[in-house]
Amino acid sequence: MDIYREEILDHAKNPRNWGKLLHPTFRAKFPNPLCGDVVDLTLKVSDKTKQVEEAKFETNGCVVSVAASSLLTENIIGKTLEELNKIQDEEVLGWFGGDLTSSRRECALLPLRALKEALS
Amino acid sequence: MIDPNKIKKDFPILRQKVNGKDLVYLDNAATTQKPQVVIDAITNYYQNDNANIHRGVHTLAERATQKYEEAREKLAKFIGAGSSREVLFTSGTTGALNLVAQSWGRANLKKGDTVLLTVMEHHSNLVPWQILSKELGFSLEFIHVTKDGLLEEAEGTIRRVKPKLLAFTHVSNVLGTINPVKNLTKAAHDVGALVLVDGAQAVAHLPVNVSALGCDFYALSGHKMFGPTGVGVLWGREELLKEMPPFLGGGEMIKEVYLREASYKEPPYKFEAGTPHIEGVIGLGAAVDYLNSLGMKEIQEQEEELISYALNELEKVKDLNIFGTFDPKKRSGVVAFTVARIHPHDLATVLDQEGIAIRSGNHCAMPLHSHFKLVATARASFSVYNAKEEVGKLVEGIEKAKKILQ
Repeated sequence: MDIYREEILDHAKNPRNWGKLLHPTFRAKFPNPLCGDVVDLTLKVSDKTKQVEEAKFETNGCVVSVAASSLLTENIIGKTLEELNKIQDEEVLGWFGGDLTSSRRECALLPLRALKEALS
Repeated sequence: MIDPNKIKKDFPILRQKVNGKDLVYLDNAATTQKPQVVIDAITNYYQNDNANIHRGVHTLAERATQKYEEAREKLAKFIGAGSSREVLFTSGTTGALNLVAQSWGRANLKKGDTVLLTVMEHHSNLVPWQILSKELGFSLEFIHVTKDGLLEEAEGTIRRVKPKLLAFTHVSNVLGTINPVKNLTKAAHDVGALVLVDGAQAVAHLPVNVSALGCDFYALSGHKMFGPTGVGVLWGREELLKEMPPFLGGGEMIKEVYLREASYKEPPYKFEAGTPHIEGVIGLGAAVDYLNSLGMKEIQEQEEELISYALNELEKVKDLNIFGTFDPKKRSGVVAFTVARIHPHDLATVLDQEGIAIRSGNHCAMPLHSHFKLVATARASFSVYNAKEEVGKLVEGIEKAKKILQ
């Protein structure tokens, strides 16, 4: 098992899309009750195209949740709201190569849960 | 002196490899492992004695009842209770604390009263009082915690607040702080308060004598003292238990039942409605025998030496910050710490790869973590079967995590 492989550590140490949008279309602050970590996700969605123009996040979370947030925000820019709603847990877990124990899966899924909350 | 490597042989679960490495179990504050004698007592009960207790007149029922009540005697003696009638079996410490809240609290607390707690309480000695105070309108006040993890101005706060109940933990499950139960109890009694002590983290680590401590209620969990999960004890003064209304109603706790009313048995049975966790109680009795065979004073001495060693070794680790006091006389075998730029969950995952089990998170003490402006900590917690070599492995594991993650 190697959840701390290079790509994941790179996203954790140099997270993409770190920050907070000032005037987001959607926003959610979502906590992980297991550890109290929170992901704060902000999105800007185009009125016309319904596509994500910008996505930013901040979190006090672990390597897994930071990397998942970084990968997720990279992944969703350019996608439509309809496409965002279709993202499944498996896709996010797949980025970690199926190496996550069940307790750590929640860390990886935290940004996706925040995304779903923001859209709801 | 106890030899932990010899003790380890009594615990079959410890003879295994995790991720290819010898298991180093340092999550004893969450739950301890079980010695073979406890496992055998439970197996033996189901293989030979299983029956419902206090009901049947047949041989198995008599035998099961006798073993259950023998366990009550053992527990009473173990914690220095005046009588086994003061020992109520519950589902655990949480069950015991909720019993005090729902039975004594509901009958005695009202608007204008205060329950005094501490900032270092486990959620189980916090949330039951929050729920009840919202309903009954009494206030909650808190004794604060110093940066060294000791209670701050405890006796002064008791005198100032004049609570109706002081409820606090004997040993902190995060800081390891051993609170001065005797002194705090005296101060509380001087202002007319009753005293409830959460002993979950104390009973497996130091000698506890409730009569000498002087408190009014004492709660403990079986599974943190080598016994099974799902069983614990509330000890209470007999005169208080007699006055308290029942918490759960049902079979076993009644004398006579009519359609619209019932009369209740005397304690402890008044508080043990329904078929209890019989094998749990018998297993807990065996755990008490096991602790007695080692000797609580001897356990305390061995753990004191181990914790001094662990604090010393961990303190040498660069970027590692330990919470709580460094005085081994005031601290039990729990060490919460953080490592700079490493999230406790990541640290715990890397250590797991080395076969080392620690806890990460807020350890059911979110207000205490907020007090120290933290979200989570890593926690290594020791038991009598942990050896100094295992502290060494913990330090090596932390260094490895630093290489990967920092």
